[in-house]
Amino acid sequence: MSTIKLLLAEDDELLASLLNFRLKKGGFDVAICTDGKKIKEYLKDNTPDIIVSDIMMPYFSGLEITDYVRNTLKLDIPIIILSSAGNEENILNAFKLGANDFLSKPVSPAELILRLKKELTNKVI
Amino acid sequence: MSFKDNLDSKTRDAEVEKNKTVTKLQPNRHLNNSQEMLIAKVSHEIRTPLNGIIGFTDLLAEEDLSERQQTHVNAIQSASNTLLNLINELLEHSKLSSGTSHFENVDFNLRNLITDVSYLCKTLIVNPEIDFKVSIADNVPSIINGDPSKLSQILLNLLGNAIKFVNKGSIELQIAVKILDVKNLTLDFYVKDTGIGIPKGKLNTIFDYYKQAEIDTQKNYGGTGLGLSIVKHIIETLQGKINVYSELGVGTTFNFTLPYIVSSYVQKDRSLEVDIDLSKQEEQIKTMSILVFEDNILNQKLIQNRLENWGCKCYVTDMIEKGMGILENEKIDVILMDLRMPETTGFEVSKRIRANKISKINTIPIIALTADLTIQDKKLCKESGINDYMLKPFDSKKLLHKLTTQINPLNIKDSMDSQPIVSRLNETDQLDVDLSNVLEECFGETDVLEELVRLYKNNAVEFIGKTKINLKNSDFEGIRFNTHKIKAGLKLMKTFGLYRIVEQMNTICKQDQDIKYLNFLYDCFLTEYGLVEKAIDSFITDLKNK
Repeated sequence: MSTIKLLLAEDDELLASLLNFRLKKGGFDVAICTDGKKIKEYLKDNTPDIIVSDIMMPYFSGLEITDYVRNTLKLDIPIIILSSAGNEENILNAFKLGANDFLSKPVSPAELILRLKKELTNKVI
Repeated sequence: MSFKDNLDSKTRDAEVEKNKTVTKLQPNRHLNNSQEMLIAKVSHEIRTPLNGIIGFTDLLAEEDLSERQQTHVNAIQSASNTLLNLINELLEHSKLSSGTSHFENVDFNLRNLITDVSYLCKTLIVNPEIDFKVSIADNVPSIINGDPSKLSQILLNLLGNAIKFVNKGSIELQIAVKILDVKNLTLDFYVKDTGIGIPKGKLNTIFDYYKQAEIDTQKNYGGTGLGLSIVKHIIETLQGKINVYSELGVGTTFNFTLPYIVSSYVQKDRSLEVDIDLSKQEEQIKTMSILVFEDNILNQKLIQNRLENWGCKCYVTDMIEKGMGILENEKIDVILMDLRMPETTGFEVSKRIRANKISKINTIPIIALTADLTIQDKKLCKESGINDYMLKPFDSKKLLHKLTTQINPLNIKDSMDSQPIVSRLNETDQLDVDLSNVLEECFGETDVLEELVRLYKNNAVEFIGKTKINLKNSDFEGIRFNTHKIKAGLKLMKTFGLYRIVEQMNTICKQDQDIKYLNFLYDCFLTEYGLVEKAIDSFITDLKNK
């Protein structure tokens, strides 16, 4: 199995750094984008196998990115949303826009990896 | 032992030694300083041998004495307690005058404090014809920020006076609040009694040193006459006011007001705590022997009362030698250790206990008791061999839980199953920095953790810098954005104290937009961040040295 290309969209460097470390250990090929513009640019030239995205980011939010991936790029790659606690409304919107799953912060890297694997196996089936 | 005589001065003295300097009093009062300092120093020196006399007399009193010998021992006890009382007041007075008394600003539970004070007053009132009443207005908040020990000192002094001078009727404590703004409030206290009263002509000198109304009064009712002047001094230093109204033969009312700050921490709703099987736990500790190192008489009484109600055998002392003697002669299961005592610290005593050659003694679990635990304290706890700690004021449930955990280590496992208990123990500590979980997330790789710490510090510096500018410009949206940005990192690194401050700043930006309060919280953040950074650095250093 080839390595899985993962796009991590997160503007908090601290969290991004920890997740990056753990995801790489978990065998993922990780690309990190810290704002909405960079994400769109990255997606022009690359198609990741899965996207993990924060909601609140500069320029474009995780919701806008979800919308962009589904409706402009017409890609059905799994999208997992990371949200701050108590942001239930946003999570509902994310699902409406086509997100596959969500995790509340603080994110446990182990849980994230499990969910990623679940999404990826779902997709193969 | 004459508990009543000793009470008002000893409780206050317990707190004088606390090392948390917040307000230094009247630093420019140089003239009397050298003399006051001398008095302070000498009083302090006298206390040490005097404590020895009292301690050993107490021990002597427990021996099998003839009636005659018992009378003599009682006389020594009574005289030495009076002397200690006098010296304590003198020490307090000179510390206040020379500006070396320390005041604190900590969050504390006012209602618990009042409950404790009234409990103690009730034990002092032996006369059944005296009615003791407490009424607190409904809008008085439970948690406020200020100096709790000074408040209990003031109350015990005034109520203690009332108890002395009332032969019949009632003593009443009333508390009301004036909420000034979102940050400030004033508490309004009334201590009313139906005692002998004070003649009009003497009312204006009642707060002077050595003035009780009549020389006879002093003979009949005792006391050094320093009490009220100390009370007034403390109240005024805390920016409060005190007044007295009195009518001969009718009674006296003391009214004082003190300013406090609204607590800055989001307080946990304690009713949400898991209910542990109390009766089962009480059963478990029934036959325990517990040694308590505690110098504050109020706390001594409370702990002793709770423990004895549960059927424990309880020994209380604030002297290291007496404590060591008890450890050698009795089988003690758990030690409760106040961290700050006048003659020594809980750390020192714990070190002595751990260094003892007898394994029966050096392995006894020690639980530290403290009003506020800083990170440095926590490190000291570890180094001194203290096993656990409990923040004051604590309720019986918590004490019971801590005790059962100590005697029966299996209980720790039990409580692990029910998550809330474990997380509660962590959450009670606002300055907890423990990166071992984060290190685990990094699979134990120190350099990854170091990278996270570097980013964490960058975040904090950015937050501090940007928020400072935003505060200047009253840019609430900017501050809100900064708080949002830093929140996740604070949580990730488990620095919950900082997290709570930031979360509160976030709420204020969204709601009342009170710039003064934001500035205050920002200052809290700066102070706390300094401590947290130090703790993180020392954690990393320790890690590397391993």
